[in-house]
Amino acid sequence: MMIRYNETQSGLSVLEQANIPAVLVQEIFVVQSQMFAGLQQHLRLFKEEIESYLTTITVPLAQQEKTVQEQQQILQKVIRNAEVLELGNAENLSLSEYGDFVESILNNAILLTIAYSKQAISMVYRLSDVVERLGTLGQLVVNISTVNRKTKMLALNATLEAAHAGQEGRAFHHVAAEVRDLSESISKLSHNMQTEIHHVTQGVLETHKMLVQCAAMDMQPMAEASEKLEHLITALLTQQERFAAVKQEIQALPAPQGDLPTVFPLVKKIQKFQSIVEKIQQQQGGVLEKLNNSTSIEEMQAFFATQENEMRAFFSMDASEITTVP
Amino acid sequence: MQYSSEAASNGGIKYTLSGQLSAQHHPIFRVLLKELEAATFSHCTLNLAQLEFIDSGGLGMLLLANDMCKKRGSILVLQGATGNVLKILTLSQFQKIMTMID
Repeated sequence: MMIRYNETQSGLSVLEQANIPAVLVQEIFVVQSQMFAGLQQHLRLFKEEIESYLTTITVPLAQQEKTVQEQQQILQKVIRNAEVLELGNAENLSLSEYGDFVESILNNAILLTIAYSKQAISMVYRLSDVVERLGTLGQLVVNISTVNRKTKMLALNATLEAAHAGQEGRAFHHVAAEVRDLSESISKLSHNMQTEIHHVTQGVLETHKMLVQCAAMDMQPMAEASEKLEHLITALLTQQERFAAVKQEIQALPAPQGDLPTVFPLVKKIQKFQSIVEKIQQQQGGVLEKLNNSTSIEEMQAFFATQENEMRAFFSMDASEITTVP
Repeated sequence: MQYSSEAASNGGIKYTLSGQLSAQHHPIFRVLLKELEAATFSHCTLNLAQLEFIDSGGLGMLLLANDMCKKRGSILVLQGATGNVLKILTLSQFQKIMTMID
């Protein structure tokens, strides 16, 4: 005969309705008692297995939790450091400030270049004036040379006239010779002056040329550098936004807690199941004891009715939680 | 560089520059500056629409022209710059120093 569990009727009610003799019922109780003992043994082993499993997974989980916390802290530190650039003079700049900083350096370089070019062109114009004046000066020296050549000719004529005059012209001859010597000196001086003016003019013209070259800086590379800098600033701003997003993600993560079951829901479920097993063990232990000590069917009947209600209430309460375990 | 000049409205004077304005062209720009120095005008406009290239020397010469106009109690207006010329003028922040119009 097979005794099936019925939710509406207890096992004893079924036995009573079937008019089964009391001796047979007692034999059934003995068999049930043995089954309960076996079930209790299985539950005890199962409980020990769960405890062992919990011990096995708890330590690695705790270690893993600690590692995750440390990794979060390191990541936050990396992001904090990556967001700031140290310039070495106790001045720290954010990524966007760094872009502005580099841009200001380039702008200053451009403004300085233009200011120097302006000055260079001004100097070029001044030197052009100097070259022009030197040209005028050179022409004046040429004029002096022309006058001097005439003076020299006059001195030569005077010498000839003095020779024609004979003894009376001796004094005049002497003066003419002095004028000729003076003219020779002036000729040498004007030649030297022309040479010097030429050298100065050459020097000024070379300086003039160099200044023009200094002022002729192609601005195109600076324009290209400026465009690249704009891209760099955009990239830095994007990078800063990325870092901010990562920081927000980290901050949005649930704060780690010391209570392991709240960190790992499966452990919580297992612990709950463990408590259920313990309760079943207690129940089955009570049943076994009662079966062994009972003297009448009525007593067992009353006991089973109580036990059945308690167990049914217990399982209906906890079963839903067990079945939700992932 | 080549340039031409014409009278503008409201007593102004307008120069149209073409080609390249670089330091190498300082002699011809100086002629322009001397003309400007001798002229009577309320404001001076430099039309740069036909200007194809400018270097730092060219920028320096524009600044000299601006200085001259300021000394005369006048203003210098840069008009019609395009392309790289406009880019370099903007990069050099000329819009903060003198008036720039399309």
